[in-house]
Amino acid sequence: MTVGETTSERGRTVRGLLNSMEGIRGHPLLVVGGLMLAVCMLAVLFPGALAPHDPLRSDIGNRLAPPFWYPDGSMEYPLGTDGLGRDLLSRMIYSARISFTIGVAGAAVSAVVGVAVGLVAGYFGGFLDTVLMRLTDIQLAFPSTLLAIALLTVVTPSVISIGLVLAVTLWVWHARTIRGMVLSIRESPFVLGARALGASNGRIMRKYITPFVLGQVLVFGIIQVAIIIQLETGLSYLGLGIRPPVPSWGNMLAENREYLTTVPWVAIFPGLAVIFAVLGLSLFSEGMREILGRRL
Amino acid sequence: MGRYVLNRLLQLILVLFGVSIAIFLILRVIPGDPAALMLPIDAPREQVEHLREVLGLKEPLHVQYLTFISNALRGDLGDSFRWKIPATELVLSRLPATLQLTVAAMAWAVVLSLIMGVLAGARQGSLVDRFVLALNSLIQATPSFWFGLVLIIVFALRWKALPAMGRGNIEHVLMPSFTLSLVLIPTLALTIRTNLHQILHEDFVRTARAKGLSEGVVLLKHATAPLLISLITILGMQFGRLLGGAFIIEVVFAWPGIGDLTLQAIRARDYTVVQAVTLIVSGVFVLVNLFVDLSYAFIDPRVRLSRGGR
Repeated sequence: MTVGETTSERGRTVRGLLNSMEGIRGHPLLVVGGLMLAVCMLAVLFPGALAPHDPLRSDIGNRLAPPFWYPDGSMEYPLGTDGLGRDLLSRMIYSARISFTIGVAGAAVSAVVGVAVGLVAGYFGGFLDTVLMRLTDIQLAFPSTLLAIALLTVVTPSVISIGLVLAVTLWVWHARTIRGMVLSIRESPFVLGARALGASNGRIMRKYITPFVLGQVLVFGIIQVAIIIQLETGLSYLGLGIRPPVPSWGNMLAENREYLTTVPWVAIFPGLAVIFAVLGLSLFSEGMREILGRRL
Repeated sequence: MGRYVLNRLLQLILVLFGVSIAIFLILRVIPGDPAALMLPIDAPREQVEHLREVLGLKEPLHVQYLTFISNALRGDLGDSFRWKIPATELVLSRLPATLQLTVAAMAWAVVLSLIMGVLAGARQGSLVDRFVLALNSLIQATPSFWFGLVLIIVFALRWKALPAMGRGNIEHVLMPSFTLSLVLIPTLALTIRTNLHQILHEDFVRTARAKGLSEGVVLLKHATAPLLISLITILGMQFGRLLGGAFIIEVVFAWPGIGDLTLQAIRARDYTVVQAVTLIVSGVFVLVNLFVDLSYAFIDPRVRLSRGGR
């Protein structure tokens, strides 16, 4: 057994997370957020089983039907229909898959890039650190929505490209945080010990530093999924996101803009879906942060 | 102090230089021909070729950049294809509307966050505190532009109390700026809450209490100055998010600012204007941050005296 293995145990925050799963009852945020996420995941994985209708089929005879609690509403279309007579509920359910795919893909790319930059900058320091941190300065000097808009005007919007563009605007936050953490771990006894025993830079980064920052990356990554879902909604509203007829919460809001004056629900429901998903994600990550300890 | 300012100015130039390269590359290097992007999809081949010539796209990349940057330094960011006037002029004519919106939003945000942050921070763990926390989670989860739509439905369409669109007198500013302030409120309110909690446990506050001062006087006299510093810092850091939010909210309320202009430019494939907006807005953003850093250094001597000040 080496010095590093015993002391780096402290840093294995992911395992610590799993160990503390038994004490889940003391963490209402995690439970509530988790349940909300579970509902979202059902919609992401089995939209066909949940949605009462085909999201693309339009029932022209039933355009702008009201939700079921209105006098002339019916359970046929529980939340009513849009201007083309498509079922709102079904479209909202199918949108979940699009939004979460973009969110998770974007957050993953952002995490990989951000963590790599943060690790390298924090660990090696010096000139490399200066160059990388100036890069993040430049990135931060760009308002991220504006950057996304500028990029999406030249890139054809698809699930992949939108995810990538939003990752480009978000990796900096990982890079900065991770660099800060690495700076504080770099000189800690267990890393110094490992180095004294002759561990290579690569090994130290992999075995001693990465596990330490993983918890933070996870917490942050989940929040970024939420941020990306919100950004995507806004971009879709501007017509820069997912293109119709494929439903997304944002483009549903945009498509139904003209009916705002007469049938407000078409503009209200998709927004509620976004709030539900984002709230679920942020409560869950807040709960995880609690479990991982105030140290983060 | 002089050295600190100089240092920050050098950094600013470096950052703006980087931003200009980034904007330049976004247009040139990303797959797709900018000339083809700017013209209608069915434009004849010769027209595309001609535009490539006019835009200087046949030159080597570094020559193109030098032309671009030397023109940009003289304030020339090219002419708008759609409006046939210099893009710089177009953007600057819309800038006041956007700044009015963002400043009004900041005012809402500061007032509302102070109320919430102080109420919650003064007694952490209380019922009020929990309510403020829950409310802010909700605000954070709400897409602000969607909330704008809801406001329009309620205040403009149902109650007919406020105008739904456009820019005119003070009534026009109320809804869009309130909507935009939601982008800022959670971050601001929660930071004020945390900071106040910390401040209230500082030695100087304990001393003030020991002197027998009332809780209200302690809050007003001893907690205000440190709170202001963090308030200014966050406002500066969040300015970019506020501008980004303004882009979408301007579209919702048909507010004739930069966001509205950008969207029209995008629809018209007027890339010169999009490029000008990006560069000018980044410039404004960087300047605001410089100003914040300097005012921060002005208020807090520790920043001024530390080497380099980063």
